[in-house]
Amino acid sequence: MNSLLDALDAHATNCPDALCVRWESGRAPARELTWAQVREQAGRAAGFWAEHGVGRGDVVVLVGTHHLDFYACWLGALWVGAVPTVLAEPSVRIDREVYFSRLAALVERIDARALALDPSIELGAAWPPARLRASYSQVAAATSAVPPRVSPRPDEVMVLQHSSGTTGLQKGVMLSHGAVLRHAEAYAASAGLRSSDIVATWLPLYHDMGFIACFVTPLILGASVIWLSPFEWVANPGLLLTSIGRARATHVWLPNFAFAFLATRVRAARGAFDLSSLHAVVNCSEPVTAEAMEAFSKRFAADGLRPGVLQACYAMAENVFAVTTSSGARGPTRRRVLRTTWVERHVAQAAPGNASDEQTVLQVSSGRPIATCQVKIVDEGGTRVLAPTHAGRVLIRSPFLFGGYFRRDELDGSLFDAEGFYDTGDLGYLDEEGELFVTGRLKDLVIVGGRNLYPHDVEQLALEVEGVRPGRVVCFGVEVVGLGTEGLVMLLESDLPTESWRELERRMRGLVPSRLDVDLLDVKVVERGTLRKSTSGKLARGGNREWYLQGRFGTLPTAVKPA
Amino acid sequence: MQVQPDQVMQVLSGFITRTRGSLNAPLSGTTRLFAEGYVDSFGLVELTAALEDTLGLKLPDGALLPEDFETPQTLIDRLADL
Repeated sequence: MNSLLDALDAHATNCPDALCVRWESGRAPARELTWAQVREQAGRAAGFWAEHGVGRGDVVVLVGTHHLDFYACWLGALWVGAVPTVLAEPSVRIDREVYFSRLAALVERIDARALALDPSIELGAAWPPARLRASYSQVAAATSAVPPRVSPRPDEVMVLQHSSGTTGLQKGVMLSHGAVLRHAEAYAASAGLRSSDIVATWLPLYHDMGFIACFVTPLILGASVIWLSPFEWVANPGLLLTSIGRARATHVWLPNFAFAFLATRVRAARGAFDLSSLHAVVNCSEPVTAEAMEAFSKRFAADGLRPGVLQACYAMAENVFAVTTSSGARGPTRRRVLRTTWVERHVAQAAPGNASDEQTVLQVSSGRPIATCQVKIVDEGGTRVLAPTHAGRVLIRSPFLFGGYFRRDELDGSLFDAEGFYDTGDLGYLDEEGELFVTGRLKDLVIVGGRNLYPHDVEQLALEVEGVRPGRVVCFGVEVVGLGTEGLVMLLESDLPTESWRELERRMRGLVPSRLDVDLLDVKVVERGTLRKSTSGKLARGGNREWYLQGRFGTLPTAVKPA
Repeated sequence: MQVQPDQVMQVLSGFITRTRGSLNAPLSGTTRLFAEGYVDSFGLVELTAALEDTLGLKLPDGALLPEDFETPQTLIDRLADL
């Protein structure tokens, strides 16, 4: 097998009438495709791409993922040797013009040959005329001859994943055909995923968890997928559980917040669902918390959720997806470690049984490295490898590690160390058994509901607003109590009279969602000179976060736990 | 279904005041609830429940999607269509 399409070919030949994918919705009848249908449609879409001159190495941008013809468009691009990349669709929150001008800029920068969209998305008028643009329905309805399939070399770029990087300069992680196939093999073995399995998901495909775990890997293995729209799920979270029961789904991947969200927001009575078919519910892409996992298992204990199915995984697009995963009935290991040793020396020393809650910190592991993947923990300087239980920078190496960022050659020199390890920007430690505990991060990143955000982007946006002192805005993430995720906080200094501060806060609350598609949990305008500066005179995110949590900038919202 | 626009506005104002601390300016039919930061998608389940309580009705699961909450008016229209 040299490519995903070889695998698709095999499934369409061996089990033509088996289910490949089914879209479910609370509002419309379900629609589904068998393996034979998917292969047939992919060939037709390939005909469209070939007819329009899209071929080997051309980047094809796809926007919108909850559509029946998405599979054909994406697979058809691979068929002709093109490189598909899935980007986020506009949400109800973001300003359309801002969204489309950013999309156009990215398309220009990566020199995409074509753009395919969900037919419900209407493009603005200002669009680079030189690019081919089509709706999914147009691509899938093509009647041109099915072109021959391109056989890629293993080291040829298969897809770009644009899930990381600051707005406007998103980094396209380049993944080769070989890397994606090797990852699928290694991850399937570690996660116990087989062709007979059924994945249920609402995850968007512009993020590695949805894209690799719930779309690419099932296609390679021949597992079926039940697909829900993320927008529908968030308004009606119980839909996922109904779908699991109906399809007898075996695998689900969710970010940490979704465990807490399902546990607290699903309104159905206990025992209303049948979750007995689940083999694995994998917590991934946000820091894993014991509280969210526990709340979920308690809430759905009466719904047939078997003990030992909750797992944790540490993953990133740069490694295709999984780095580590827990497995087996034991699930992810929890360690109660001594608080003082942890805080003062960053060493996770097991607490004695009689230690009180105040004296300890509860940490959850993300399991062991998956087959062929290695994890190395080094000190701050990056030179010394640390002993088990000593926390430091998390470095990884694997046969499926990415080859670099697309058209960002300036970054290449610094990506890997002398041994070929990639610095993840996360902090953590390995325990004596080789399990990884991710405990923090060095990189300036806030993860809100599984979405990566860069404080710098939010600060830059705020600085454009009149009344904000130049350079005097700072943003950071804080834990949202009970939701298992982070919320975004903005602090800014203003020279405006205090009576207009409320209005400035309101403007920020309105500006950030419409431009960056994320909500501000809290915004506080403060007096000139109040924000904490580092020795170099720049605002310190960590330092201001500390002061904020101590209540120095005013009352905290109820969802934030004071320090 | 029969809905009183006033009642819908009341539920929205109450919900926003409760979750955001204050409203600052009164809502209008065209206030963009998401884009202006009044509502986020994690709050929709709770907001739907508040609508059911106040309006004294039971909405079928999944009757309301995020796009229905774009403005108070889109919500009123959607409820009337149900």
